[in-house]
Amino acid sequence: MDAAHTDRHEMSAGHDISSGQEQNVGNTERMLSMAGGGLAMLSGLRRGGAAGLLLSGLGAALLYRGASGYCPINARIGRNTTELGRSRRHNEPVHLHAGMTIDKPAAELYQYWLNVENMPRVMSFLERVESRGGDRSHWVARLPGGRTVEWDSEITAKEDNRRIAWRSIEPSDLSSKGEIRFRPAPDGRGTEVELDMSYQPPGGAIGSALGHFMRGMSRMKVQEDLRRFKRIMETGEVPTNNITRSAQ
Amino acid sequence: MKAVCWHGKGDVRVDRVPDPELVNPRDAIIQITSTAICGSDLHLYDGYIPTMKEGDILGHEFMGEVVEVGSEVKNLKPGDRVVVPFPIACGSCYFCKSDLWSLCDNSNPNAAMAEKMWGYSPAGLFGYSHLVGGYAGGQAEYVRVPYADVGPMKVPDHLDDRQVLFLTDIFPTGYQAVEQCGIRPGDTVAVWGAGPVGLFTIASAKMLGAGRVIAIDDVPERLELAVTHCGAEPFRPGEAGNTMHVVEALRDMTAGRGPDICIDAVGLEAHGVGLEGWYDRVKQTTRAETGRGTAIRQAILACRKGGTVSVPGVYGGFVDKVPLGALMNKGLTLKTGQTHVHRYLKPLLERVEKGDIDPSFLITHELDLDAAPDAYRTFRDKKDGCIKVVMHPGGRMH
Ligand SMILES: NC(=O)c1ccc[n+]([C@@H]2O[C@H](COP(=O)([O-])OP(=O)(O)OC[C@H]3O[C@@H](n4cnc5c(N)ncnc54)[C@H](O)[C@@H]3O)[C@@H](O)[C@H]2O)c1
Ligand SMILES: [Zn+2]
Ligand SMILES: [Zn+2]
Repeated sequence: MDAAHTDRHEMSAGHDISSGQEQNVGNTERMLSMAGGGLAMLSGLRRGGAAGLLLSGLGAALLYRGASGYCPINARIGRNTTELGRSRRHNEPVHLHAGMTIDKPAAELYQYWLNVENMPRVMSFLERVESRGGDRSHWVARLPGGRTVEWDSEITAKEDNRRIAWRSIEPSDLSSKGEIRFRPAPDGRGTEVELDMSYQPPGGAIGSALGHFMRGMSRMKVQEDLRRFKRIMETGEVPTNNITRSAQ
Repeated sequence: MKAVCWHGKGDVRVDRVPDPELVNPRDAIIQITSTAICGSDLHLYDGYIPTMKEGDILGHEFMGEVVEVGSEVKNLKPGDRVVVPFPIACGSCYFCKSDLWSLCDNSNPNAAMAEKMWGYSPAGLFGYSHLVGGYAGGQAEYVRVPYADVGPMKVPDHLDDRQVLFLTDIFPTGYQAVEQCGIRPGDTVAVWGAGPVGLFTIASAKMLGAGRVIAIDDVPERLELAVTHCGAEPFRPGEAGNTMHVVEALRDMTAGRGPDICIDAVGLEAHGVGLEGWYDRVKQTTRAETGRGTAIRQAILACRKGGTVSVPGVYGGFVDKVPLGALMNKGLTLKTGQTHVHRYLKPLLERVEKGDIDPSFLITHELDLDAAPDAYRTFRDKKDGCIKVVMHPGGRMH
């Protein structure tokens, strides 16, 4: 009964991106979940009766967990079997990668990205970025609970319309590195954009506000930032389902 | 304002909610004069589409008068009378530029959620769950329309709301269902479902040169309209209408060839009988499958060799026992999709103006918005001869 109930809840509850549901089931475990889910569902149906229905409901829950990479039970017990979860536990640097095809010429995308003051529009967690002249800038990020982290950053490489790389400058709350690459997509279909970010959590950061911020960094967040970039470039705005301005 | 809101399975209410405002520069606010209930809304009403939230405003087939436009909307002004396509499309991504509007890359704010379910995200839709954007719908007095410089089309004054309202969804949906099959003169087309989508599919098939159209449904007044108004031949599967019976009947009606084109205008709530119907009901209730597959199974099995199966009927997740072996070994082509409404607005408006079709033929109920809770029930239960409900908020209508 319980498993079937959990499953129904998972399928019907709204999972907005804003609620931050992310992957916490590792890839191997996902495959096993899906295979096991399918089997349980089949044998549940074959058996019939109440026990059979229960088993097939459980199967569906496992299938969903496998397909979505999200497990409510893992979330509740703080278990995370993804690569990312593992490196966070060991205070290792976190590497995040995302790619997006954007239907605009590389030069336009490159110019927009080079202007660091555009970044808070693109990256949801930023409060503001100030240019400090030359290739240096000052970044301020919002933490959950209203606090902020700040760091200075410098551009370490600029290859016209192809690549921009940056890293934080010591001393700094947060050690980070990033790079974005642009290359023409086949047959004039815009530009393939790839973003790589890595973060080094400071020693002893686990449990602190900064540690919390780091744990919030995920491949999905990077991908959503890149998607916001695409949407700004292609349509001039970020889509929203709000019906009033104050709802934002 | 007043709006029709979803509160759970079988529970829609007319609530007071905040008036919508311009949020983005490409938005417009429309005051709604006519808004319909669609078979797609029944899938929400019956609780089969995940990611609905209590209070979500329903409705995706609507038209009205522009009251306010954002700074980037140059093609519309207050007072313009417009119809609004149900998919939300930006007009500038690869998909919009390829005329594939319901696959817009940019209009779904919850694209990441849809990607988990389907791999990639289609366009956002009005009033159709958070999976496709969580946008407030148009069964309301007002609606916020994003990318209003791309979607809404002005309609001429000499046509009334009834004649143009269905350009927002079901007329283009029926038309695309046939057109995407590459229909050739003389083709025999079989259509599962003689609901609003099925009826426009049948009418479009005739318009596009079908030799014969066979309408399959069990609701007498719908079949009747398919015959008298759209020129279909009726087929009523009845209680004995299990899949093999339907396939054999269609073979007999086509001298052993099978229909050239088979169209599923039923979707995920298909009725099934006998063991197959029971199997799908149990699995759908336990969420072990998210759709009942009777119509799509029959369409694939009945289709002639090398023919085309077209699926305007909506599915959300998984359906069991789809005869892939038949699909593959008979060399069938499968065509599907939410409708690229933007593509059809102008050509189909022209057909209405020329008098090729008067889309109002299937309206059976015209009501105020306040009647929505009853209207949903009547439409779902096919009571009172109900085929299509149109509501006029505040009794206004052109
Ligand atoms: N692709 C799109 O863009 C799009 C747009 C609009 C609607 N739709 C979908 O089209 C489908 C039909 O919409 P509608 O407004 O006509 O809905 P509807 O519910 O009014 O009509 C469905 C009809 O199918 C019949 N039916 C049920 N099971 C059947 C079976 N096994 N064989 C034959 N007929 C059967 C019902 O009796 C009913 O008359 C829905 O799934 C809807 O979501 C898709
Ligand atoms: Zn519809
Ligand atoms: Zn688009």
